[in-house]
Amino acid sequence: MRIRQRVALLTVAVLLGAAGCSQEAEAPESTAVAATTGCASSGELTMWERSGGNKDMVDMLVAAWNAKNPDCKVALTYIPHTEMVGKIAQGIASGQVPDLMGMDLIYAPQFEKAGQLVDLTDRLTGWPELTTASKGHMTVATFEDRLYGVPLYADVSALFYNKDLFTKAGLDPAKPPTSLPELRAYADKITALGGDVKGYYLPGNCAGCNIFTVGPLMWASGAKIEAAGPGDEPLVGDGVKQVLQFERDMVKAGNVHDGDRTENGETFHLQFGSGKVGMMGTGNFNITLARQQNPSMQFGITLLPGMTPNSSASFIGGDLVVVPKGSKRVNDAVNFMKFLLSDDVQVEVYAKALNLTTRADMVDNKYFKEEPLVQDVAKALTVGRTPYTLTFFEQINSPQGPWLKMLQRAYYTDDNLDTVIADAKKEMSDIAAKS
Amino acid sequence: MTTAPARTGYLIAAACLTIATVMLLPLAYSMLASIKPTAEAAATPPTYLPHGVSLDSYRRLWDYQEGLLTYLGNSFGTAVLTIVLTLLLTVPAAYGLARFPIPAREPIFVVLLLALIVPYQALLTPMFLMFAKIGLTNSLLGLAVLHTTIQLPFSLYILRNTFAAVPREIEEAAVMDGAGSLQILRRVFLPPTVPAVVTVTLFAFITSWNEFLGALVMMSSSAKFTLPVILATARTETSLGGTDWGMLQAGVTISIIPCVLVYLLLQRYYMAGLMSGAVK
Repeated sequence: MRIRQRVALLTVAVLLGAAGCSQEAEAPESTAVAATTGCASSGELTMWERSGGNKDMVDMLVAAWNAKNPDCKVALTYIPHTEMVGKIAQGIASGQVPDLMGMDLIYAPQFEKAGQLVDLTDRLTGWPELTTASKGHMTVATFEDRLYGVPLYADVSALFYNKDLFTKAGLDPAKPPTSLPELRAYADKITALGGDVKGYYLPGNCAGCNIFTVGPLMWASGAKIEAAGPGDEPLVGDGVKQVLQFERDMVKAGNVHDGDRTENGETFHLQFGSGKVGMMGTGNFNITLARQQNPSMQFGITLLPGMTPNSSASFIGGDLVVVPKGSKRVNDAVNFMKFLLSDDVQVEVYAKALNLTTRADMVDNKYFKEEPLVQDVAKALTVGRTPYTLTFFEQINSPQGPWLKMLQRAYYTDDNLDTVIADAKKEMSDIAAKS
Repeated sequence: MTTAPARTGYLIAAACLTIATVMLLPLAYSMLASIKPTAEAAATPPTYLPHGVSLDSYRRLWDYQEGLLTYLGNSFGTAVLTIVLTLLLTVPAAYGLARFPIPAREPIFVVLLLALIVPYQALLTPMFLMFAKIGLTNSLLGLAVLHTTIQLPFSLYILRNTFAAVPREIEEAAVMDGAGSLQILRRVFLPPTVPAVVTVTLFAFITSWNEFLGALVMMSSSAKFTLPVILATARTETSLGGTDWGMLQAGVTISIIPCVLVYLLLQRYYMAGLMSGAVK
């Protein structure tokens, strides 16, 4: 699969080039039609979304739209997420595209730059909902001051901690760690409980999991990770080395399970709910999941810390909803976006399902008030960021990329960390130089 | 006392048994994982023998997205169409190439065989763009045509060589009796070449049944997806690409069954067919 993913991504450039020759003219609809939360014309709307995203949330949003708009229901198709980028590129190249798409936000700039998404700036300008929409999403939805999409759902990373294990280890479950040295000290105590329990979790073979959970530790320590474009220097700041040293020490101290080394992301979401991990960087999606897995487990959520006390950061991930070039129903796709951002949907669909709202001003709602964990994880939106680069996959997400290579050398070898960072820095710079 | 030939026989049998065991272990593991309770299917470290038996994974698969029956139906329908198209095209083509005095017959055959060495992935995008122009995308017929094109060179190779091996005397006798070309094909060539035709059928079925990339690219709505595509979707069912292992193993188990059944039904023809295609 991973090979397929690489092949698909490598062919994207070729396909996008082909698309440039064959793409159809932008939809003939008027751009002056004011958006509503209903449908402007009848007939089924088609939508693609990647599998492996927040499927439950997307299903709920589509169901809510379909209930309100029985004459133009959204027909949703999930595409295997490892094949999504290639599939979109192929669809655009041949003009066989859905009316709207959910897209992993991290890949959006690549498609915006290639001119393969419908420029929605004129249609979206002036929407009050956008002023409070998730900043991370809006950043990657914008290319050269033009706007191409709105948030579909948000996933943020945070530190989950097992209160039961805190209590057993003699720690105060009301006081999670506020810095990495503190996190290390807590992990030592939890690991000392023995048996199958470990103080910490480190997904050793998953590039995406690590940028989601270890990346923020570096940001919170003042570092910068990816190269935005040609000439931009990656891996800048002492925080990079400090966090790598911290993780190396955690592994050497036995604070992580040996099996974590092979974690490629496929069971990452199940680890915290196992009850055998004291602290773990994961995402808001894990609240419901951990409860389903382990209903009796007491746990808390705090922000991912940096080296100094009370520093914190988060990765804002998730999906955008965009309109591919060639869509015949741009106005209704925009209406769907208006629907997603409406007060009613933000509260009665997103918040009710205990998912993050995609508008900051909707966090203060009746459902979150009854659920302290969601309130805690929502704080991550205020310190979160979304990397902006045209080569995110090659630099960061690729299983063979420099990011994971650097982490694995840091975690599991005794290589000099300055050399490890320098090697990764060079490789990332080379990749960015080609963008 | 055991004789030397008997000892050799035992050794060969033991080696075969060992190889078979090694090859079947992943299959057995997959089948056992499909009946484990959900939590156990994803447990780390994994268990080998299930501690409990549960059909929950199959239940989830049954209701997955458009429902298992839809995907089985799409896969089966495409495979049957592929078989029909493959036989309709390759039997007459092979007959022609084997027996008709076509100019440059051998070079034509070689050129057709060259398609075997062109990577399928390289053909996929241009073929998709072509299919899009004639409205054959997101259609089971279109997918069957695509699968047929993958299958054609190999099928032609098997059938043409088999037909070429049929003695000319029998054909000439049929001509003397006044039989036409189609009658000769049906009554003279097909009966002794049934193993080769069955082999082509079997290959066409398995190729179409297992094919993933073309089905993913060609289909744009989940109601048209085939089983391999929906299993790839299920592989990344949960957040951050997490996998519902139990459901995936249930899908793998189900997807294997038709292949095994078809193979068991046709295996007696299979080896004979391959051998007949291997010699001229």
